[in-house]
Amino acid sequence: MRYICIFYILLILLVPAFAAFAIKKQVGLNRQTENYVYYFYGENNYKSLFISPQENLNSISLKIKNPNLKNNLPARLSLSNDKINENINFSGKNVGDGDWIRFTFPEIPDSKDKKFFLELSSIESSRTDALGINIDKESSSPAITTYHRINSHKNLIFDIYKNFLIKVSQDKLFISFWILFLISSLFTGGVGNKFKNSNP
Amino acid sequence: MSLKQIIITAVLIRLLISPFLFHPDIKDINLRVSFLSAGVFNIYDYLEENQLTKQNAPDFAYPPLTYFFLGSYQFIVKPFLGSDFNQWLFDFSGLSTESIYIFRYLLILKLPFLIFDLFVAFTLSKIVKPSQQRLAISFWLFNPVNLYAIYALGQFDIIPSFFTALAWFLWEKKLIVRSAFCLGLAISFKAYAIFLLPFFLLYKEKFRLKAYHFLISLGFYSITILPFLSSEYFKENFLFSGLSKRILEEQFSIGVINISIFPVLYLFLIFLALIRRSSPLSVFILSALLLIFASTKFHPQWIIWVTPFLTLLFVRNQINFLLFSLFSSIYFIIFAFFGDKYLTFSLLSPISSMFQEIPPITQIIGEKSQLFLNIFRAGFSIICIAIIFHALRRTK
Repeated sequence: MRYICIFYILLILLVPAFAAFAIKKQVGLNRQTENYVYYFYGENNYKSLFISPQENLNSISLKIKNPNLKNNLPARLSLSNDKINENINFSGKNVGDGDWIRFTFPEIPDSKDKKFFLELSSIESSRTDALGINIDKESSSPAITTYHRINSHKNLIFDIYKNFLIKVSQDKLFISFWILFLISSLFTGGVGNKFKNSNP
Repeated sequence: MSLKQIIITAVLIRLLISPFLFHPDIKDINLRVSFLSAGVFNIYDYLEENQLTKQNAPDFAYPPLTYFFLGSYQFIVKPFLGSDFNQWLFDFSGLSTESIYIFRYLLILKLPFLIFDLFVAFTLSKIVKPSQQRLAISFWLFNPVNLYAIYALGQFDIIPSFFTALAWFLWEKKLIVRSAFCLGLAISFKAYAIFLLPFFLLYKEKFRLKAYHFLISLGFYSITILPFLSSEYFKENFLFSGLSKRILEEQFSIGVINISIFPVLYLFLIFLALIRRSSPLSVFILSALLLIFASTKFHPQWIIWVTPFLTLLFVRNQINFLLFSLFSSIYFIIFAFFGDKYLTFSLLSPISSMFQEIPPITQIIGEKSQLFLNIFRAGFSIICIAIIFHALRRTK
């Protein structure tokens, strides 16, 4: 029985580390602020830029809106800087009424701290059936997540545990209660005794 | 290890698991039951008619008692959940696990399951002989299937499962009215328990007591659904959906007629119960539940309906360890091939959202995964039928 308990506790502690080996991409920039929808159609393109926080950028997610699923016309995402120029075609058919859409492109190895220009266009669309992108009105920046190929799983595992400990420690009420629960379950004998005496 | 140490360790393991594993269903259900705090009585009509919930929480597929019970619990613990809780419930960005309060939410929302989980262990300890008590409790508390279905998936199925086990225990103790009340409660939490009712009625007992049992259990259930029977959405979303659809889904053909597998097997089991009244009630309850797993595309959390009875029969040596292990192993394999990443590594997403980036096995294997899934499902059906035969043979 003791071994089963030790096995479970080891499993709980080690599963995240083992599971981390299956992660192929990690999140870099994760900007979720959005309070406005900018519509792009005809010549009215959406333009913005972002700085990649890590190397090996290979995809980005943007929150795109197709109001009432009216649009089924071609659209394009262009990603460029002084070295690259990637154009990704997509269709309004594949966009829901407010979905995170991931655009994948060939990996950019030296992407760390590089500036990337982003442009969304849909020449055939009109104002009435335009696609929109969710942005932060103040900065005009899109809600965006960047993904990067992982260089070192050792660093990733270290980061996972480190960030996890930081995250847990931020909720003081949880930590207090959780430790209290753990300690009180260790020192409570009543439950076990009741089970022991329960059989007639 | 003493019994006390076993229980303490089991609670510790549950406290270590609960806050750090997340399945979106726990958020979905809690979003729906949160409307009770806003004074919504008829959740079925409210969700269908409310534009705000139309896209992300379009219906409520559980009985009314589930709504009132979980909604009341959420109302009571709201001061501990904090002011950001409602915002978290309405976060459909897919990044809700990024919240720094996620551990608190998961721990608090799963606490009632811990209590019902321990109640099942307590009931099992009362059922078996003193010499079998330790084995029964250990087998229940350390069964990885239970830990996964209750604390990783965070579904409330442990509640009706406890009431079903208790209903059977009280019946065995000849406490018929209490047993009926418990079965009524189980049905009112999840309708599957209604399939067990005929076996109580067929059991060798005085007709008067069986009539009481039938009337009280169904009467209790009827009272809980009565105010909603006039609602079209209630009928559409609860009465004619979920389990009722799934049990008719798997069919075989005779000529041009399609026949659902479950009703045929279920009727056969009732016939068997009629002619073999000497077999224990627990065997027929277990068999009826296993038939659901053998003949439907079941949800992973449903497994908790049957595990108390499996534990009991295993401890009483009415099914062997090999069948028990095969049952558990194939169960896990099926859900690894299920295509829902939240059944595997993405459960760890509260620890790091990067675990959401691990694709499900189906995506890695490709088209063949469906074939594997079908093979394992067929294997699981065979194991379920084998357990039924084994249990019936040993209790002849």
